[in-house]
Amino acid sequence: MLNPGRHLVLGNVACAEGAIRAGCRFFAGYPITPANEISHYMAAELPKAGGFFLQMEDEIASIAAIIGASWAGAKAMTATSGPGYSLMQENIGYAHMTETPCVVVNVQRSGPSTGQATLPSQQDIYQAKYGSHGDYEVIALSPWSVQEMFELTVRAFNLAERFRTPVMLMADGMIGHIKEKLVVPEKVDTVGRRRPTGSECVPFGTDDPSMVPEMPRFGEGFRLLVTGSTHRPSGVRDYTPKYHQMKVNRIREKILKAENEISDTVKVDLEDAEVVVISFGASARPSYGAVKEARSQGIKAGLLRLKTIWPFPEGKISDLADDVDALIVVEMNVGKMVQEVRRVVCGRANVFSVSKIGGVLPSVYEINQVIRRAA
Amino acid sequence: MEKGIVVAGTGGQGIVAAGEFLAEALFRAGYEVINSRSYGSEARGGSCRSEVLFSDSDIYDLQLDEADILVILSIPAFRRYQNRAKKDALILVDAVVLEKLGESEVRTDVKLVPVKARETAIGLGNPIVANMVLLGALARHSDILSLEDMQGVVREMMRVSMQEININALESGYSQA
Amino acid sequence: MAVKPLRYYSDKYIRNQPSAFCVGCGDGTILNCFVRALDELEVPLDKVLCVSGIGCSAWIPSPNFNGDTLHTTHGRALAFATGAKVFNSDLTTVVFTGDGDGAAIGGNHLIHAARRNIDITTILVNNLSYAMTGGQIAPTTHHGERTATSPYGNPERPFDIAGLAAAAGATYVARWTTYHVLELTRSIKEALKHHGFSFIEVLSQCPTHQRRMFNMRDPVYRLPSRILEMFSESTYVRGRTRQENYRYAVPKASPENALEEISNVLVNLDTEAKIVDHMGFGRVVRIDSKEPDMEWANISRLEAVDRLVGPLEEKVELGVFVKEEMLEYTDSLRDLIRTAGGI
Repeated sequence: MLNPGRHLVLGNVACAEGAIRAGCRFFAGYPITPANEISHYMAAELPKAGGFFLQMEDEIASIAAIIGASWAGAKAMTATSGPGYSLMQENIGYAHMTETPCVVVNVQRSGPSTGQATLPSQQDIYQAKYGSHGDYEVIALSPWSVQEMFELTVRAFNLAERFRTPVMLMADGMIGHIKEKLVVPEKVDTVGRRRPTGSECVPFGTDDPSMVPEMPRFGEGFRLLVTGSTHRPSGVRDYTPKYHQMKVNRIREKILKAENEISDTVKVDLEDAEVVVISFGASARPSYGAVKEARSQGIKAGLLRLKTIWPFPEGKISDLADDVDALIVVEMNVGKMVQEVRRVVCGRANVFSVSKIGGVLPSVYEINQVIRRAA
Repeated sequence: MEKGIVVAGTGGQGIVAAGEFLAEALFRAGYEVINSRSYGSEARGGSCRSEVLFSDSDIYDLQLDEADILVILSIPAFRRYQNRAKKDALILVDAVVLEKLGESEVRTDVKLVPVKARETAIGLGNPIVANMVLLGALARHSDILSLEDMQGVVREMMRVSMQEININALESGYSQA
Repeated sequence: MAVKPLRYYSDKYIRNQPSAFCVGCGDGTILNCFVRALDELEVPLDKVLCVSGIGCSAWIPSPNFNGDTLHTTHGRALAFATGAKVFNSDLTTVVFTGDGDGAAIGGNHLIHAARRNIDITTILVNNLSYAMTGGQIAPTTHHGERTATSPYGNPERPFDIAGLAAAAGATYVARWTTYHVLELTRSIKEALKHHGFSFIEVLSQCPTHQRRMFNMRDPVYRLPSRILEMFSESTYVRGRTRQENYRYAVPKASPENALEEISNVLVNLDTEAKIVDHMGFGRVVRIDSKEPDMEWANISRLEAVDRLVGPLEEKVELGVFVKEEMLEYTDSLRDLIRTAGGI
């Protein structure tokens, strides 16, 4: 474990350190590049904190194990990359349906399939939202630095507990594999799940305005009925349309209506901006440089950086659309976030896309060129 | 001020270790640092490079277009990276590499410093410390880090059994004219 | 074993839910044996966790069992159970799975749970097909069987699942049928007490699909007992050698014709011949003989008889196959934490 203070740390290690600080005491994973360093650190450090590290037989077993552990009371996490993330989708859907708090880290690499196994991308952002079958909402975070690999992992755990939901940490192979400054704080604020107070508990229903039910655990006499089938608030299987609508609407609403609490964006030079770059994760690094360079060239450029990519910050982007002439979306995929922006903007501003694939970051120069053309 | 160093060579030459060492040394000296690495298709015998960006303020860029300092341990690395150095860049290269290259293959607008790295390392008992000999020379030919800074990091970071040879390697590199 | 009224078990261990099982399903019997085993061991109900996957077997605990239940995704029950058990080893963790759920899609998790020797009791209900979805072939379906996905006959060979679990490292392995309720209950008790990975394969009746599989044209109310008698006839228990002298005559065509011809030959001999169901050979004539010098060749020569087979041919072996003590997974993980210096 790292002492409080300033350290030069690998992104993946910062993520694992953040998890342990956030209270993670159960990790199950399977080897995959470029996420392995998270497993290695967890294997070495979790037992020192009294936690359990398991290498499972595949990614499907890994996500299943963390869900089982969460229901036994653990703050639990797994980490993987594209191919493993694809395998996990069925059980991620199970976690949504059963409202199981847990954290899934995807250190994104370039696909499809085996692809460029060692090179980074941001290609899985739609998979984070739509990867499993069925209707549900997701919370997904996007760290742009080693410091954020730590901080957003902590936040991921807190959001998972607060909203009783799986949270996706959409890291990438670039930030995961650089060494950069990590300032480890003295204290980390953690959030725990709302446990039942009495001897009775309704595990899948609540009158609380947050719409998040209490989270019981096995072994306390609640005689829990946890199932992936559609169920009543008591947990009893019930396929009727009424209960299905009730369940799916509530698990979506509990996240969507908390957009203000969940959504986290960073504004750089937006006050008088006419051209705004929207980006997230590693892509936001050269975007920042390009915006600063544009300012030095006399262009009123700004940056809106998304730290949460889902739920999508509809309100903020919509407001921007009214205030600026052009929006430029920078990402390492064929153009996915830009589609969300176009949807929200609905023609009110010009939208440009800088979409870079091939495992390389868009360069400051490339982005700056687009800013200049858009201005 | 933002500068970039590239350490490059063949897998197995301690390229990543050298980059990490430099990054740590610069970090402890108070700079903001970003250290990244990349491999060719094989880890052993394939090309390998480690980049260190350092600055006195926050670094946003992740990529280095042209290096201010190059530390080169192999012929293919020299050929690949020499042109990714700025004009007047400092290029520290193992003397055995330079010997194999013709005059026309070498740039004249940079500060080229041949260092007897591999030869010295063998003399010290282990060819693996050739990378440290070059870093010692770096301390001599640039003002970013002192020899004492580097030797201090050896003492703080490395296993006791490895410290002596590394300190000597740095010293030897520093002392070469 | 003390015999308590059925009401006692249903009040204490069974949730008041309408049963979704087909009439005559073996799952009810297995649930019955399970709760009796729990009761005799006086396992605290609050600490029992039942995990299941998808299929008819998954509904044994969920929603019928009045304890903590975790109904998961197809084939993955053991992986979910591993997470829960590791984090809270006080939980008496039992996995209910089926032949498709546990040995096809779940096969990988089965062999690794066995290899780790994690203290979980797994009860695998083998009804020889994917019953819930319409009787498709499973890794246990006999070669040649006609099913919804093998209209020309099953091209595949089946597994010996208990053998698989044993080879993978399970430290308690047994196989019973829903006919052998006393042995099954006792075995479940042993499995629950056993500190390590316990695996019990239970051959179970599925009147809905097995009527077609075994060509049984009886009315519904007769099927379960007919299938159970077939299980009894088609299995033998390891270590229990029967002293009876008997054979099966496989008929060329009609078993009734064969029985008639055989009976004629056996007149005045101290023998008994009757038609029985045999899982390996279909409807056959079983001949028991107390004659010291029985001339079996007289029967095999008969026109209506195809061949004579021995008492143990094509029969399923039952019993406790493995029972050993070995380092258990959650103990191993806790040792590791102690070594690392954690609490």
